[in-house]
Amino acid sequence: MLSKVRKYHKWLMAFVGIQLLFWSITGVYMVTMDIHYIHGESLAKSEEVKIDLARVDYSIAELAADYPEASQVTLTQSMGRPLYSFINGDQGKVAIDAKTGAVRPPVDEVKAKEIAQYHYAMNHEINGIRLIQSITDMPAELSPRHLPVWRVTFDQFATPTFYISQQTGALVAKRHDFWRLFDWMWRFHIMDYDDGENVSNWFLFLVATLGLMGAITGAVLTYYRVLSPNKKGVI
Amino acid sequence: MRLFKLNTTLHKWLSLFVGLQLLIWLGTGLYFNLMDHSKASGNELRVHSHHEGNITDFRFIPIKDITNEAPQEVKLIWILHQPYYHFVFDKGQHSYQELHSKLFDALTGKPFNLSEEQVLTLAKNSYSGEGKLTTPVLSQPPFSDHVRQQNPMWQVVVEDENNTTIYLDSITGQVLRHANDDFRLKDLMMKLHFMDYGNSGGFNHWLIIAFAFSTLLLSVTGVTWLIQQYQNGFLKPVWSSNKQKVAVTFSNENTITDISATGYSTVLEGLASSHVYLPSSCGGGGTCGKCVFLSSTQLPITLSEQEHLSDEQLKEGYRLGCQHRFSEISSIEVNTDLNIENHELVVVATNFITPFIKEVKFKLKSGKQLAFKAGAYMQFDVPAGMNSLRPDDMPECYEKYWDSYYHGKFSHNGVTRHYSLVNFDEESDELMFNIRWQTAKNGFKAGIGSSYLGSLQVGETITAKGPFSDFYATSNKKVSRVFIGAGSGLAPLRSIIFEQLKKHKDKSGLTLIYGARTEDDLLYHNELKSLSEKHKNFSYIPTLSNPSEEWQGHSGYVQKVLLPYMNQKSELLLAEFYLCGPEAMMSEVEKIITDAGIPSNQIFKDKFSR
Repeated sequence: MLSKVRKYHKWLMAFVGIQLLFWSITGVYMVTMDIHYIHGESLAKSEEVKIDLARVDYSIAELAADYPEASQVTLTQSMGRPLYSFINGDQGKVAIDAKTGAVRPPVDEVKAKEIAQYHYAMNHEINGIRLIQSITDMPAELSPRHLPVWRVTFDQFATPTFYISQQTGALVAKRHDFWRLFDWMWRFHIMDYDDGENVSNWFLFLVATLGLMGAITGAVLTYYRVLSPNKKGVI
Repeated sequence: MRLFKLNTTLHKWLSLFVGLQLLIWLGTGLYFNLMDHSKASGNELRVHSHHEGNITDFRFIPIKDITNEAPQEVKLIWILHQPYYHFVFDKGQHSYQELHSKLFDALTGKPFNLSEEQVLTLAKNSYSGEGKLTTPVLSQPPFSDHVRQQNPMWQVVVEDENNTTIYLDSITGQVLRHANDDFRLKDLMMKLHFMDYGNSGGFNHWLIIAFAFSTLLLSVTGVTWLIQQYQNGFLKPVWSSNKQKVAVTFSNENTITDISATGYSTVLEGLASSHVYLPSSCGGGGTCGKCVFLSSTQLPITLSEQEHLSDEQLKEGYRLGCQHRFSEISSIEVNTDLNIENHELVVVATNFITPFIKEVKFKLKSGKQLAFKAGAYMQFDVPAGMNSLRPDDMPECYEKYWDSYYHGKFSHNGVTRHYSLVNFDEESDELMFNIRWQTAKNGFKAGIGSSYLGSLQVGETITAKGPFSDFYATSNKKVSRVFIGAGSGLAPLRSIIFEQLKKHKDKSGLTLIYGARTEDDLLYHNELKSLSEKHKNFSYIPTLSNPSEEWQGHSGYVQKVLLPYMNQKSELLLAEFYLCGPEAMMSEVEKIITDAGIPSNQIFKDKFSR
């Protein structure tokens, strides 16, 4: 009986053992790497600057008059300067100066670099910057709702990367190689080698089922080899 | 190098440590794979309602006029179609982190707090089910439905089948979560998968890190083991089921028997399939090092053997049964404890078939069938006790032979006795023996084994080991065979002859020369006679030492019949001779055969003949 169980355990694991190893490796990575660090929270200074309301001369009433189709209005700030950001009907995201009401011009390359350096928690040179405007041009690590954005990379180990909204100048995403590796680990963990988003794939089902059977036969072996009081020849 | 042992030992103990959690991981993983995502989100009955009004319909009070406290951001939000300013003074990176904010009426600038009725309306607007919503309760963390949440939330319990609870932001009334039993099941699975038994809400804690590293080590040792198995040729799928025969010597009993098993099974498995059990506590993993056998041929040495066997043992040819395939070996020696082969036998029929020989038939109490080679014997355990000096159930016709023997009983110690099987394994589902009653010559003690077995009644049981084979027909299909037996020595010969003719459909010549005292003493006379008439290649030559006047056949001992028979047939030079009977008869017969020029490897004698 024990020899049968051992045989099943061997053959099941011969098929799915490698994936169990992958699960272990990816699992170790995912639990040991702090998720906040993975999210790049340490890359940017925590924003604690308050808005100086005295400088907000342009009121919501004026905004309503100038932009009657405005929705999702937020008073926020960029590099210490208060600004309103909102959706202006079909035009999409718009940012205007909260002191003057002037439309802020789209963030240019110089400004994008300035914003990136302003938020960056460390002190490294920018070694790459480009404007991304379409989904086809966009790396998979970014959500398309943030478009158009400036992609700014810093000259540092793990390639820290900031994404800065062209319209509002807001820092919309932070990435580094640890995040990218985490993403691959996740794909290997859920065995979706396609786009890494589908947990309900049949391949995972097959291997997880065989793996579970392998683990159960392993548990039987462990029980008889370690826990069973009757250690005589149980074959 | 004790790396193999280290690897497998580590694998075993790690599996004990992480085994349960590993099962949980795989089970919950399978759940995530199979779950209905829309149900598990808890949002099956959730709907999104739009509250945003037209910005030009209202007269807004300027943000700078409301409060002196500087905010991080101010949002214009809409609650039930009314505009409010949401001042956020302090917030973390994540929405569940502690947040300090206030709500002001965007028209009057006055601080605004949601009423229970408004919260209830907001909750109702988000819910499309039939359940009744109860009064909202402003609750403080922690929340079992949202362990990471550090801010207070409005909690609205819905009386529905799925136990829905709606959670809303304490300040803005924004619907944050619909929790129901589907959601809670997924939440529990998450908790199990993340080992979040301390309710941290995450998976970056020391417990899971320790288990993850242990599991990694478990996988690495497992994969290493698999690689070693592959290198030793145990991971090659073999589909053929060709049987392979191996001569196995039991050094304990000094008996040899052929055992056949499929070639790709391990020696351990192959022997076990024939009920020969090498000791093993790991079941063939190469980790206990107990299933030792001695091979006559040089076999390769595996890692496991290097660690479990000494250099001297390896040099002498000792190997482990789980490390080699049956097809690798031709003859081996094993040192097994055959106690496992004890059987409980039940008497199903008894019958005196000659004046002194009783035919006793048994079945296994377990109902199982034993496979054995014809000519095999079993070892009976005769317990201590009192036996009759002569049988109590003798048929009347044989009474005359027993006149000179005393009635009475005698006591004896426990003994073991060997008896040959009269039938072969596929002849019937019974085990048949001829018990020759050893009479009490001096009047006070009969044969212990024969009187005990001869007195057994139908339904009584006895323990026996075996069957053991050391006397059996060779597998040579062309050779002719001569069987020479006397008295109860016929038993194994009958078994072999029947097996050859009925099971193996042997077409080569078979001759039985069988000696007894009188006609009454001939065992299975009619059966053998009709067998010889049916099978032309079988000749049956009975001879009597004390025949009646009506006897037409040979008279005298078997030696007397054999001598002229040997001289007249020159083809017997290649024949095999099978002998069973009294010691004196066997040695005389053997001399006759050897003198005729037959090499000794063509002569087989049953050692346990009586």
